[in-house]
Amino acid sequence: MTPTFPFYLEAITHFLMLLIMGVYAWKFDNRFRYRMLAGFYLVATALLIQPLSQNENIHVHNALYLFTGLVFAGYFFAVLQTSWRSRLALALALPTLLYFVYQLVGGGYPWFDSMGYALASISIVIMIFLYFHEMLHHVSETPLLESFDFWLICGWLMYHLGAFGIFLTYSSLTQTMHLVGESYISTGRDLFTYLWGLNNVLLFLSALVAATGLGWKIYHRSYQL
Amino acid sequence: MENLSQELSIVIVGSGFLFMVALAIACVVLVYQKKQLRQRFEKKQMQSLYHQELLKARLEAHEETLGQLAKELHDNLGQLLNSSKLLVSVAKNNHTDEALDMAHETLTVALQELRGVSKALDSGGVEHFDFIENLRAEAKRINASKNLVMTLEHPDQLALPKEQQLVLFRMVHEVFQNVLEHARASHIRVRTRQDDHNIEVEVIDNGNGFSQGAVIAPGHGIQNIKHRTSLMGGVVEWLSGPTGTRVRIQLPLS
Repeated sequence: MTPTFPFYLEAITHFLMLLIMGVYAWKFDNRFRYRMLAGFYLVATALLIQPLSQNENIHVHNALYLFTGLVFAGYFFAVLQTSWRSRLALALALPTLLYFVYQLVGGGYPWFDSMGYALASISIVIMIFLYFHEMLHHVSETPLLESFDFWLICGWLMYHLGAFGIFLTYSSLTQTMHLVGESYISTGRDLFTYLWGLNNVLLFLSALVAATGLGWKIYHRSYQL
Repeated sequence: MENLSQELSIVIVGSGFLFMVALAIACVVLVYQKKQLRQRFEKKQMQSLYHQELLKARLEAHEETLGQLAKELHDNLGQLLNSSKLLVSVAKNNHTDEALDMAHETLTVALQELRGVSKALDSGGVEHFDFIENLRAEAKRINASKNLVMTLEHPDQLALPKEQQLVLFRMVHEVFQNVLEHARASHIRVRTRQDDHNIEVEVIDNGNGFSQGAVIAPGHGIQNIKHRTSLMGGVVEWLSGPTGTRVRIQLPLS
């Protein structure tokens, strides 16, 4: 199957996020967490661009969900101020890690591991809720919309919450496909395509939200000067 | 047809989901801004209360200074000038140099006292206020009365801003007043300590103590001390028994 535009969106979005994180780390705040995210998006872009030409990107994706879970846990560990929340964020990476190890020991997952992705996404959503909980309990003087972290995390919420639902549906459809057999594949394939398209659109929109946050910071800084 | 309906369903579900997430984020932003406004209002109120208490402390210090100066003028300076007048009168009637010499000496002492009074008036402002200096002066005044002995233990100076030193002194002064009026103590020990983060003042007397429930009444000095301590972000505690009372005031340095 020739990849259509929504499939290219994944690599484009990760590249866009790489640019956003790079500009932010360079212009505003070069703390480790932002450089780590820039590094993550660089690796993700490289991993996603390469298999597009071969149209076989299942194993790349299966490694990517683990990488995503670990990096995001590290980011939230740095961002959250209260010790119990930051430790909980770090602990939320464990289910994803354990699941990946379990699959690896079992010989690797031959198809797209949507359950692994669903696990990583729901862990990230819980980390995001921890962030919002802390934010509402520790109000600061700075206006919320001036925080780049807020914009970044809102974009992630938009993507990962939707992705969780998509990946669960994916997992259910995959299991049905294996039970029903070849006759399901031809009718269910289009649904897989649309769902993956939606996933990539949500990913792209989350990058646009992060870009808006960066744009706001740049505008605010130039306005103050 | 089936594909089109599937695609349409995905678009509708996706749009609905995005709308719900955007709405949820907007609610979070609104709640946050509301909490921020409330916090700013409370901070302004606290600042206003703090300035009011500072003004009150300044007025109290001013009134007390004037009261003490009036007493000094009457008891000390007035007596010296009166003595000088009598000596000049004796010298005039008896034509003796001795009386004139004594009058001269008495007037010299009177001038020194007057300079002291002038200096006290001049240094009565907050900018010159020093907690340790005023504590020593208070100890000297109380010890001079011979009803009570006050011993002090303190560093050379406090790392608090002058205005906070004034408020702290007013609170400690309130404690002294309570001891003098109610405790029937013979000895007060005042310990002042400071480290990198806090300043602590302990006033320990050997009086007859009090029941805390009995004295927590509106308008009482203890309420005033509690209120001022909390405005400065500190804590105050009382420990009282039949052998005496210990009051501990702790204030942060930041």
